[in-house]
Amino acid sequence: MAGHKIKLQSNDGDIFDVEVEIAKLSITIKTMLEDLSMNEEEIIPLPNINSAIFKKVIQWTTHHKDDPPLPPEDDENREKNTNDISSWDQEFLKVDQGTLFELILAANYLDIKGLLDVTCTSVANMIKGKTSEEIRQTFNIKNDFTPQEEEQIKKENEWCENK
Amino acid sequence: MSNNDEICTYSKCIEDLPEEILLRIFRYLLPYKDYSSIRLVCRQWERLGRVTKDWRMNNFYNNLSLSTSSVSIHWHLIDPPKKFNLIPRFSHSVCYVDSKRMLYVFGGNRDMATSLNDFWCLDLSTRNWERILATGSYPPPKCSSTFIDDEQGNLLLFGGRSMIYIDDIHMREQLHHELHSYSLEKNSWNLHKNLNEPGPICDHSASIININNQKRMIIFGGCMIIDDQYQQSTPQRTNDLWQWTNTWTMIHVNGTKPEPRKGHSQFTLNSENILIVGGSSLTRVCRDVWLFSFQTNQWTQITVNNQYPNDFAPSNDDLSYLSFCMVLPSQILITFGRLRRHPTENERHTYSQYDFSHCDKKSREELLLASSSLPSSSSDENDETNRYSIIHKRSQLPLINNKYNMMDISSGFQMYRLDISNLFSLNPCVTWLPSKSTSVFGSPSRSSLYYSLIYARSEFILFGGIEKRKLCLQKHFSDKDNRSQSISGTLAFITMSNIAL
Repeated sequence: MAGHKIKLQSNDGDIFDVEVEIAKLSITIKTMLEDLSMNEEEIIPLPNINSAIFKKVIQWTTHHKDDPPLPPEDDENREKNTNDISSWDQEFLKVDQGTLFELILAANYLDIKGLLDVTCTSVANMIKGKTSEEIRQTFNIKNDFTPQEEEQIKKENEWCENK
Repeated sequence: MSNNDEICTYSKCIEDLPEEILLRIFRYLLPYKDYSSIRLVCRQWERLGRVTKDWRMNNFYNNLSLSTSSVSIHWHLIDPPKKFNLIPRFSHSVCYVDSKRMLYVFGGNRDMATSLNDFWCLDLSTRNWERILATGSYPPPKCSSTFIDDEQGNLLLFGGRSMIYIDDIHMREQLHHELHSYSLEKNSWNLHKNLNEPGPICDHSASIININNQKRMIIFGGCMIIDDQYQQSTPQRTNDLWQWTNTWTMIHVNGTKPEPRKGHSQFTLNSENILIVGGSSLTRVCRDVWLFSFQTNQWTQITVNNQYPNDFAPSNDDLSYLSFCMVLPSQILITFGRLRRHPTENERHTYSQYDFSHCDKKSREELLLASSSLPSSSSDENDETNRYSIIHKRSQLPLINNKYNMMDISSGFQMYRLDISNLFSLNPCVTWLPSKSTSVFGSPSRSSLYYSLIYARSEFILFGGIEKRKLCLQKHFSDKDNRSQSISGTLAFITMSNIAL
């Protein structure tokens, strides 16, 4: 089995030969291979991912292929452990915001929990300790509050804190 | 079109993320300052911020409450920062101020003979310590004092104990009578002098209660110096009840009083009642629980239900030292003590409605053993799925051990819960609940006493303490090597999830 490869195609047409064991870290691909019993010669299209991002995903999964499987997750209830990013991942995530968000979307689509966790943590770390204005600047978010709404929320925040 | 628009069509921005992903990201934030900040970013974030906050609170309260579903307890340990001289300590005084998102720590003992009077705050938003350099009449070094928020901008530090040297060799215990208030606004200490004060006292309890729109500090019990007929001053336990409203008054009590005690915990339940639990009297560990009503000025002893005394409540030994904290929305008191013995097979069968898998050290060891021995025996080469699952386990277990430092069940901490939801029912009672954790991650390997325990936003904060076995040693001699190890500077943030890892 080891070394056996499958072909995956990004949305801009590039075809990647990926080891089955590595590709299966993506639950989406694993399901396709197992449940849909796809022919292994067949090229599997990944319509939501471009080749630049897919290269990054392969790089990450190759490095993490021997990690222990993460615990099953109940999204509604899991407390997130904070800022635990390994140094390899930190280096890996030194990318521009656009790439980071595309990695998140790719990890979400491919259902690679480890990659999704680490990319989301990375975004959370960009939010931590910032004021709302700094957050807006960091992510280029438009302030769509009316001045009255903003006042109201400030009051509510204060009220919560002085309860 | 401008250059900006062009970039936006090719490069993703945060608004491209689905809301479920944003929620996922927000769960990594701490429930303090960041929660206020994200609400002010934009309308979408405001709404998702509220969802996140509700999720975290409900998750925490539900996991603490009465259901028998299992939870995991997560300890996140942070060692004291090296750059500060934050000395490991026990019997220190802590006070949490939610409006500041700060934990204030005063003094305590660094060993049996030395008390401290340094003053620190821990910013819960950033988890950073800072030493507070305050002006005014600074309190002396002491331990076992009470430290509470008067809800009017001051922290009240009262009583306590320290050792003083009589000559080069001999020491004597000194009790403190001073009441200091620390003004958060002025960053200064003020000493309150009052003639009617309760006198030198330590190991008492204190809480603030709002009666008829007047906030009062109530103190109960503790150790006082009482001069006996032989002119010898020996500390004795008391059961007096005092209130402070810029002046001290002893509260007249009608009827029975609880036995004199020290080292107990006290909680204000509403605008009429306080509750005391734990501690020790002259002759015994106090397993009794008492409720005081400011309407009738009477104490009521509350029935304590403990279906399985050997398992559900902390040991006698521990109960006299442990500090409790209250989670009012869950109607529960919490403490952390040494794990009790493992229930026998028979007992487990008897109360099978509860989950005892957390005690199941044996089976976990067997699993480890099995997973490491089976692949080498390679009994069934052809069974692909079986082999996969074994390899799976083998790579999983040791790694999880590394990462989370799975606690040694036999020596570590256990969470004990006292249900107080029936205090005001027709038949008032409190009930010790079974431990319900299926797993504990990152707990310190040894349990300690005289730590401080605070309930903040959806988490418990445990700081300092001393190991009990070292405590006994130190009473006889001080082993310098042991000293630094036995007294803990550990800061632990304890959260819960209902997912067994």
